[in-house]
Amino acid sequence: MFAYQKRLQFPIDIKKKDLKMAKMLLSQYGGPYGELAASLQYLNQRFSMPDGRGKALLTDIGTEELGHIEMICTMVQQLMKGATFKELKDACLGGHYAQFDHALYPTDASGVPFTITYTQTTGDVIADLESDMAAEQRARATYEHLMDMTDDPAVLGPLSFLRQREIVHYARFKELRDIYQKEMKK
Amino acid sequence: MNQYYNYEECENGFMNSYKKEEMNSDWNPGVFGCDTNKSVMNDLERLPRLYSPYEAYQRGNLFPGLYQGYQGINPSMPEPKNQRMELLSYLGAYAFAAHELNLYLDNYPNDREAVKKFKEYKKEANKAKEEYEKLYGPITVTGVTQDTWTWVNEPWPWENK
Repeated sequence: MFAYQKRLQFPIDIKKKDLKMAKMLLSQYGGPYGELAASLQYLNQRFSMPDGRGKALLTDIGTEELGHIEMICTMVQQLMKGATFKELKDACLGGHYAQFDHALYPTDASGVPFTITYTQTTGDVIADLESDMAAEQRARATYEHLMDMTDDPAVLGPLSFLRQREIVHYARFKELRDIYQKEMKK
Repeated sequence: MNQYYNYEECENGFMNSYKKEEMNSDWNPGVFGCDTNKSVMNDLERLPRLYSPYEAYQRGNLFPGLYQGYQGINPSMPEPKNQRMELLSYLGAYAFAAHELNLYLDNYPNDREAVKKFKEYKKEANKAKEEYEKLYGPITVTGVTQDTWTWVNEPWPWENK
C-alpha cells in the first residue's frame, strides 16, 4: 500500500506567471514520456520481476515518480495562478479553460489526453527493464527541451532536479539489467 | 525459485569484476552509452563516493560519478523563506540522500557500508520529521501530535501562499 507525505520531494516556489510554459510542462504530466506513464509502467511491471531486487527497484522508482507527478502539477498550477480567461486563450489554453477551468487534467503539451497505451510491458525481464531505461532517456530529453524554453530560475531548479533523477534511474535500471543478464548466462 | 535466486553468487562475481577496474574512473552516467562496469568503485568497498546530503538534494543526485549537468545550468533551489521551509529543506535533503541509497541498495543489497549510511541519513531525516511535526503539523497522517485534526491544515505542498 502507499502512504502520503505532506511535502514535495523538492521545494517549488514559482511567482512569475507563465502560461506558455505551463502548457509545455503538461507534457511531463499526461504526455507519452511523462511522469504518470513512467509511474504506472514501473508499478505495473514490478509484478513480474524475477526476484526481490527487481520488485524493490520498480516499486521504489515507481513510487518516486508519483512524487514527480505532484511536482509537475505543482509547477503547472503555480505558473497558471491568477490567469484570466483572455490570458489563457492567448497562450492557446482556451480549450483547456473551456473543459477544465483552472483545474489540472493529464494531457500532453498539445492537449491530447493521457492514455495507458503510453506504457510498455512484456513480462520479459530484459525487455521490460530496457523499456524502462528507454523511458528514462526519453524523459531526460523532454526535460532538456523544457529547460531550453525557460530562463526563470524558479522553474529551471526543479526541472534540473527532475532531469537528474532520470539519469540516476536510468543508471539503476541499467545496472539491474546487466546483473540479470550476467546471471542468465551462468 | 528461479535463476536469479542466489544473490551471494552474483555479488561475489560482481566484486571481482569491479576490482579489476581502475580506481575512481570517470563514469559517464550512461546518457550516451556508458559501461556500468566502469563505475566509480574503489578497491576496498563497493559504495561509490557520495555528495553531502544538501549538495545531493540541490543536484538531484547523491552520486558524483553519475552526475551530468546540462548546458552549464547550475542546479538551484529556492531560498527557504521562513523557518518552516528551512526545516522542510533539511528534512528533504536527508530523506533524499536516504532514498538514493535505497535505490542503490535495491541492486546491491549486501553492501553493508551503504546500509550503514542509509540508516545514518534516515535517522537524521526522522529527527527532522518529528521536530517539524511538533512545530508545524503532520508530514504523515500518523504524525498528528496536536489535539485537533491538523492533517487538514493548509498550506498543502503545492501551495505557495
